[in-house]
Amino acid sequence: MAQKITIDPITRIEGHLRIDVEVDGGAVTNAWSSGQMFRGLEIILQGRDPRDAWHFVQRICGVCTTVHALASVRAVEDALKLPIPLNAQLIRNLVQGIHCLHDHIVHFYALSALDWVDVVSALDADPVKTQQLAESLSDWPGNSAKRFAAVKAKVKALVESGQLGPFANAYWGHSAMKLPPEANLMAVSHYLEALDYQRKATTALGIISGKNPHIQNLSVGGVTAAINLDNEATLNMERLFRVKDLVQEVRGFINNVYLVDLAAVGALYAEWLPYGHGVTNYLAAPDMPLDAAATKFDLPGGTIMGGDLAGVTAIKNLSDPFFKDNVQESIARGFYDGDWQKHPWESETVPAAQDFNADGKYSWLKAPRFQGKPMQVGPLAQMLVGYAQGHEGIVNGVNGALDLVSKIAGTKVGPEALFGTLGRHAARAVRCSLMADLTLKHWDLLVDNIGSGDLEIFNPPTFPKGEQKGVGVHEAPRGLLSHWIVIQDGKIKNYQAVVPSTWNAGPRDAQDQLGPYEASLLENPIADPERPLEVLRTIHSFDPCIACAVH
Amino acid sequence: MADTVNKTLDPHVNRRGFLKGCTMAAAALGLSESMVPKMVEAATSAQRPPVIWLHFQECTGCTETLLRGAHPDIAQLILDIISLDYHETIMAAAGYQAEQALHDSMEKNAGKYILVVEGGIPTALNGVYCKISGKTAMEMLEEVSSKAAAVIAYGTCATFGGVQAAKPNPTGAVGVDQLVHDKPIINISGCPPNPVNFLGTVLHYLTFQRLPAVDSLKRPKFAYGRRIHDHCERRAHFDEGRFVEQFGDEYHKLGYCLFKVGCKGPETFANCPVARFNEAGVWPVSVGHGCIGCTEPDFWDTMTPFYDRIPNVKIPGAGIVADADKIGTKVLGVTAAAVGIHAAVGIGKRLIKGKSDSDVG
Amino acid sequence: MAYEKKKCWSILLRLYHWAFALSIVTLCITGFYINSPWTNSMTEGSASWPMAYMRFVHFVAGYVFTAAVLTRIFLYLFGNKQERILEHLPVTPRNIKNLFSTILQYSYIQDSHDPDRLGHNILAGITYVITIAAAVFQLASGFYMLFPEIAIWEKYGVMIFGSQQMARYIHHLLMWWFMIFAFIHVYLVIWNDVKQPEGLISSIFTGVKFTHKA
Ligand code: HEM
Ligand code: HEM
Ligand code: NFV
Ligand code: SF4
Ligand code: SF4
Ligand code: F3S
Ligand SMILES: [Mg+2]
Repeated sequence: MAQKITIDPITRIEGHLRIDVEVDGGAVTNAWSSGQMFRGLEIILQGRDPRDAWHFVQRICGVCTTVHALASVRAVEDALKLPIPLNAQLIRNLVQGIHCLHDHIVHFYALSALDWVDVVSALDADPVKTQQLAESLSDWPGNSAKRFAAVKAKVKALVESGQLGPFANAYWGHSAMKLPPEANLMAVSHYLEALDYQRKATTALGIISGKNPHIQNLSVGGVTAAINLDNEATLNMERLFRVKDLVQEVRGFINNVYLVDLAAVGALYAEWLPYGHGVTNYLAAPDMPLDAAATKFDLPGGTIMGGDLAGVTAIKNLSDPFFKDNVQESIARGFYDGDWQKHPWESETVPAAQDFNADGKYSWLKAPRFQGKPMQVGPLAQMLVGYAQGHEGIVNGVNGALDLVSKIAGTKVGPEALFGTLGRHAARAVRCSLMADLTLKHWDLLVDNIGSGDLEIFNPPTFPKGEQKGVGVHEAPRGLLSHWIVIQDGKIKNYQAVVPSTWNAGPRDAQDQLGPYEASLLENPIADPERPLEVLRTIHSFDPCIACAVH
Repeated sequence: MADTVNKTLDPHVNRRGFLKGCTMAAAALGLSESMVPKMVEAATSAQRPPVIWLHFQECTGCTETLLRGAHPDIAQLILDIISLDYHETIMAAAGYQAEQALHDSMEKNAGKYILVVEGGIPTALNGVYCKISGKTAMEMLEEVSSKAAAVIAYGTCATFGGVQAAKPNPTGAVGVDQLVHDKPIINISGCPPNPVNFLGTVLHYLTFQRLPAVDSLKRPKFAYGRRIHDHCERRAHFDEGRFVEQFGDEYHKLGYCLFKVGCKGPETFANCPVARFNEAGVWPVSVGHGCIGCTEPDFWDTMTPFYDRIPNVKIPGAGIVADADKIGTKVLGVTAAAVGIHAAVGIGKRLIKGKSDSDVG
Repeated sequence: MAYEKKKCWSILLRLYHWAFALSIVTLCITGFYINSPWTNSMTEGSASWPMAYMRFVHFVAGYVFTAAVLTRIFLYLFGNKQERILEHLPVTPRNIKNLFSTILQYSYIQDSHDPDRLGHNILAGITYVITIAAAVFQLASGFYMLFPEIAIWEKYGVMIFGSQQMARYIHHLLMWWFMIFAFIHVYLVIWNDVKQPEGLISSIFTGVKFTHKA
């Protein structure tokens, strides 16, 4: 007899997500993913100045802050056919790259590690053995027995205080927790260390963007930080070098700690490799443009259907009709008026609030579709699309990570291990490492260009009478993001955001095709329906952001 | 290397770093050095004060600021200073286990916990636009605030409704003080706010068992007492009439004042130019972009378009969209025309009828 | 026809008028500058402070303006017969009649005017009262912007206007009232001066009007 469980709130994510699953015979047999909060930004934007839109939509999300801002200015520039200077392009790339480092580190350590790491079990660990374990994996200097002992003492003090705070009432001792105490202690130590390194990334981002979350250095037509190497109030070498320094430090943590921890978790939880595949259609955008006109990119885009890597189709640029013409959103099962499926430029947002109804409308998310199909987006999609196209950086990164897992697990693990819950985590770590390299590369490109005497940062927009349509495509930490704008006489007529988490967390459509979260939960094991830790594992592997998804 | 050892672990570094945090907070609060030991003591007492943090219509940007705070940093904050009993973005438990954690803390600490709210509260259609474990944000706020000692509304969403309350406010979003009337409330506005202002408020409360002095919008004076403009490093350029005319121009490269490209510093109250952000000594103006007024009520409507000086803004209310100066100039033109016609009619009449009796001068 | 000189406006009223009129001209010019500075000085190291100077002049003129408004309010209550507020509003049958006759007169339909009325006609009176009311809001918003952290202004400012930006915005909108008012006002004063025997323009300098001898 199937048992129905509702998990609401799903925690350690951004936003208000409710997951319902049917469990039968210790495994999930059906699932519903439901966004529980609506704000109406697409409505609020109507009639406003398109130059202001990026400030509004950036508030869609403070976790992936920057990405909506970037997509929005791109959308308006696309509508106006307004080119931006090369410096602006490269500075935006630094924003994208650095923010990504912070976002991926925080996701793995702060938002998902506790699904796999048992904090309480760390109390049984021997700090010296922990050091031996850590040193066998990496020569990171932070892995000393002294530090591990201090972390252990800290955990002990916390537990003994009786005030567990955010660690109260969790899944400690759950039968699905498999790491030995030493691995747990190492992970808790890295959890704390990650907090320092994510902050370094945000400091670097702050230098470029004025503040974050919610950067303030963009504008339609370019960026706002004037470049003048001979002025203290502008972007100059002192600021640029501080950025580089911080990125290098963070890169060290990513390569020596994050990637290694991920490989260790992957190897020690090898029995989880088959779970969480779900939708195996993948979609990713090209990004990190190398030139002002955005014709060449450092991150590849494309689609893979039905897990067929050989059949990969490239998305060549940010306004490739192959992408632009094939996107639609369905509201058949969303809390909106009607049951249509429309292209974003024709789409609208008319809320029709109602209660969760598993057989009818049950979520505030729309359901995006590509050529009518649900698609999975995110680091995994991007790594697969790049891998399938033979992208050098990605192939090396993925193979390196798989070798590391194979080494720790003691058996050969191939790229098929990437599909699924753990694969999504691994792909994210590989992408994070790649982005650290690319950030440094684009830093070099920027400094070279400034050195050549080019100080341009801005081309002023002008808004002609009549109607213009644009799309701003961007590869966000959680996957492909697109903003669609229709401008009429200099004012916004329609604005639609189709967001990574909308693709992944969206509900069913009129054809009853499950969204990626829903599909990925099918067949997940559930040891104890009262404490459905396994559901959290798979859901967290997508890095949910529901404020993004609904907006 | 020292950096890679988290401050919260090393008793020496910990104490030094923490003292520094308290000293900074004391300075920000305008307190004397002698208060520092008292703050340290208050903040490190055996029982950490319980904090419950609720998320409503928000983007989590406010929570994200805590990850960027360094004095104290997030680990110190939640392991050493407060007991963060409920916080959906950070807590390990989910679903029933999370609800239970909330319930337990509310019962055990009734009347003693600080409630922090992040996000606006939708009130249209009885609040169906935001639900957590089946309850609306309105219900949850009422329930959890009823047993709180004090409420901190963190961020412009929680203080004034925020971005979702921008016209036409489709969900009827409001700030906390529109709904909670029987508890002390402190508003820490900003989108997001500077975490220094949150930490300063919390440390003040822990030290003195009362909230800091506030302005008439319930914002702590130590952080929102003066205009951005009054402490801006570009202020001399403003006074001297040296302005950036367009991003990227010669004046922009010289660091001139951003007033003409829309800076709202002159009407925005916050300590951004003093406290700065991200441990990087920066704030929006230092990257050449005007302040958009994010600490002020309704700034999404009153400060837009962000790249123009008012009054090139919408006529408030009733959805009439027009530029005030354009209307003004037109009305003046119509007036001039009317005056001209009026005078012409008078002259015409005089030409036809001759001087009338009363015209005798 | 014979005329006689009659004392109409007290010295205080005349002082108020010119303080009011000149301060408004100054405030509009400096106000426009504050809103959208037309200078852009590239001369580094110069001692020119156009914005500071404009604001200074604006605030000084603002105080003159405020003094004028307070004076007028005093005169509404304690001034001479022509100066009191009841002589300005259509609150008596006589005043109501005057309102209509003035409208007819301004529309060139009828020439007559009140033989025994010394002060303003009621149409003028109403616009003056509205202008003074607008002036009160103008100075309230002005002082709220000038002294936002002084408890009394802050409290009332937040109550009346809400945010600083809203106050600034209302301040700016009201400026248009003063400009349009001044424009029509000056025209009508000249028009009346041409049409009527009173010697209207000189009256605001001398305080004396000419009327038909009864
Ligand atoms: C050349 C400039 C001006 C001249 C010759 C002038 C003349 C006069 C005269 C003759 C009166 C009395 C009218 C009557 O009895 O109805 C008057 C009243 C008045 N004027 Fe002017 N005026 C001038 C400019 C202004 C300006 C610029 C303003 C303000 C915007 C202004 C505001 C007023 C007001 C408010 C009154 C009513 C006085 C009261 O409160 O009783 N005037 N002016
Ligand atoms: C008829 C009377 C007045 C007019 C027409 C006037 C006009 C203006 C205008 C157009 C602005 C610029 C606002 C903007 O940016 O749109 C301004 C600003 C201002 N006015 Fe006035 N004003 C008047 C009276 C006053 C008074 C009585 C005060 C009080 C002392 C005052 C204080 C201010 C202040 C403090 C500002 C803001 C300056 C700043 O932001 O730096 N004004 N005024
Ligand atoms: N989904 C999503 Fe975002 C990201 N990455 C948006 O584009 O998180 Ni808030
Ligand atoms: S105040 Fe701003 S940063 Fe904070 S939750 Fe609201 S939109 Fe996000
Ligand atoms: S940049 Fe903004 S805050 Fe700074 S002086 Fe200019 S107007 Fe004022
Ligand atoms: S936009 Fe906000 S962050 Fe400060 S500088 Fe302005 S108040
Ligand atoms: Mg959308």
